[in-house]
Amino acid sequence: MSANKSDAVIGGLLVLLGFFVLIAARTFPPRTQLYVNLVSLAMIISSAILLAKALYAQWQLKGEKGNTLSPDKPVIWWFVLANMGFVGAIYLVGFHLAAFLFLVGGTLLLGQKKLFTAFIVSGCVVGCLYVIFVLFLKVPLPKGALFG
Amino acid sequence: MEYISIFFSLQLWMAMILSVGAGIVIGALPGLTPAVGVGLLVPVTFGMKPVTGLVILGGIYVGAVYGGAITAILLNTPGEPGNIATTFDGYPMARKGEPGRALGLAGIASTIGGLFSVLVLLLMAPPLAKIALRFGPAEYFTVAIFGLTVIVSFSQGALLKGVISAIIGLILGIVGQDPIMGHPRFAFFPDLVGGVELVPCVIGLFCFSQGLILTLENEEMIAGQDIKVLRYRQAFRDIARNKINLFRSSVIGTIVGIVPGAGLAMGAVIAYNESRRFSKKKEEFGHGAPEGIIASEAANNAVVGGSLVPLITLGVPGNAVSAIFLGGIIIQGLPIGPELFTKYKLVVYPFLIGLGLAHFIMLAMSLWGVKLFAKTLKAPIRFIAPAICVFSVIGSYTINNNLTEVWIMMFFGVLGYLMKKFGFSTVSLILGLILGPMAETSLQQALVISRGSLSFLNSTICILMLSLSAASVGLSVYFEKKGILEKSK
Repeated sequence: MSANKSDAVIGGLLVLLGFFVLIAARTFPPRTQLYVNLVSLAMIISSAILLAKALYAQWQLKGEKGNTLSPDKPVIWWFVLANMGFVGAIYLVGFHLAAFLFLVGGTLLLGQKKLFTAFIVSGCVVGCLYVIFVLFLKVPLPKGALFG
Repeated sequence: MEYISIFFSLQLWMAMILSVGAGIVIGALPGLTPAVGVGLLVPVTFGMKPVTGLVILGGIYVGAVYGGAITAILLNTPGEPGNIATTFDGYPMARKGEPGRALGLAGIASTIGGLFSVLVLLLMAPPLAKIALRFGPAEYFTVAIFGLTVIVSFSQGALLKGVISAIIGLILGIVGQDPIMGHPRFAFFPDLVGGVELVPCVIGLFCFSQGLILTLENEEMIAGQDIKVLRYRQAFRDIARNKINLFRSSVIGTIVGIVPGAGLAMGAVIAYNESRRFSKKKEEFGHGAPEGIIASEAANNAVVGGSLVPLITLGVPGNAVSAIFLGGIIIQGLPIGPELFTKYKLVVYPFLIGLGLAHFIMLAMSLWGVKLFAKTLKAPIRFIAPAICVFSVIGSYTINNNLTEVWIMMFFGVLGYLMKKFGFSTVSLILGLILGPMAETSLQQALVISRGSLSFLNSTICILMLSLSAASVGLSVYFEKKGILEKSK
């Protein structure tokens, strides 16, 4: 996607956000509406300018490609999913086991070839977390539905 | 002499060393702010001698504020909001193979900035506290406006996107209960009734997003280069060449600390911004300029002493940490307010001397630990990136022992990655989130007091702050146009 197209899409979405906030502010008590109205108007104006600039720049290019943004590598979105799985697993198996599994899986996803090294490093990190947060700071970490 | 004889105690020195060391570790971990460290140790100080107890709390505070700089420099993940500005130049300097120089600069600048504010606290606390008392809602509103104008300076070259980012932060600051009427706004989930917490946002935008960005690199942090660890000696030379910047940043941090509610992040960001404004090498900022690290770290440690001024003299905490400090003072059975400086001199003055000594202990630890800290840069990113994410998760969880904060952190982490990809400013968003509620609350309170009239802007401090805001914007626009003209030549 070109930089201009992405700016236009973002500008358009933010204009809509500004209008959403402006309309929602009408349900707030009158005394509190001034600040919210000012902020939403600022959002509408600035994002409309962004949208206009992007559309104008795109029009000036007249079919040429212009600056394009580098596409994301798939690994980053797999990594985000892995993180979401990690947090979801905390509810079930607790923090320490979920963190260990995520660390092993995350390092393998990022190219670690030796499983044994991944296990050792992940174990050390979880161990450090246990010492710092549980023993030293006495933070009660979730134990999960299975072990709680 | 009686103030100094207290320090002929091995136990006190051990307490100081351990507390500063613990503070550094706490500060380095994302999500664990100085407030968490001080808060955890307040009950521990019960039963200790007052000076020992207060010195321990002070040591944690000092260590934690510096500790955040370690991860800010080595991993681009600030340990706490006050170290955000340190990432701008600390991380690029580390990636260029000079982590020792960056860490050395942070340690020395933190020490000098902190000592400056302790000196101010010792010599000028009572008159400064009277000035702090003159800050009412109208003055706080103009302080917030001044803080928001910093965004203009920060966003040079991408002004529109910087402003939009700040407005997104202002909108996020609206979420939660209205500060005057208590009306819930955009509280789609019960956990949002209290508003969007700052710490998960900072962790998400700066730490978690950095973990995501590192997955795209997937090599050693500094692949194939020698780490010039011993260049921390270069840091001393850099400090000698930046005396004015150091002094200015220390003053800014101290003043920001004295004003209740302003915070570590604001002091560091304003000092960084002013350092860039007056620098003759503006183009180096953002690429490893030593001035940027000096400004940020001197200011955020100067906030430490500044924030204790209203606390010790008037019993008014200057920020969240000093509010917890108040608990530490009460636990020791000490009175709050001016009596501390009059009837309890044998406690207060040794505490302040101890706070100064804690800075030297912090400096020694920081320089001693440079080689060890810098070794993290040789670790493969495939280990570092997941570890950053795990620390981000646990750091967010510890705020309220609630996994909702973790989901919020991850949302902001993905948002932060996308913002950086599309050229928006995460710093401006954070500034908007910090200053928005302050601006709204103070505006509403000021309008109530003035019965709807804008005459509340007539006070001396308001006029001064508005003038500074106008000057800040004007100078930024002037320097930007001057830069454009010079480039076109």
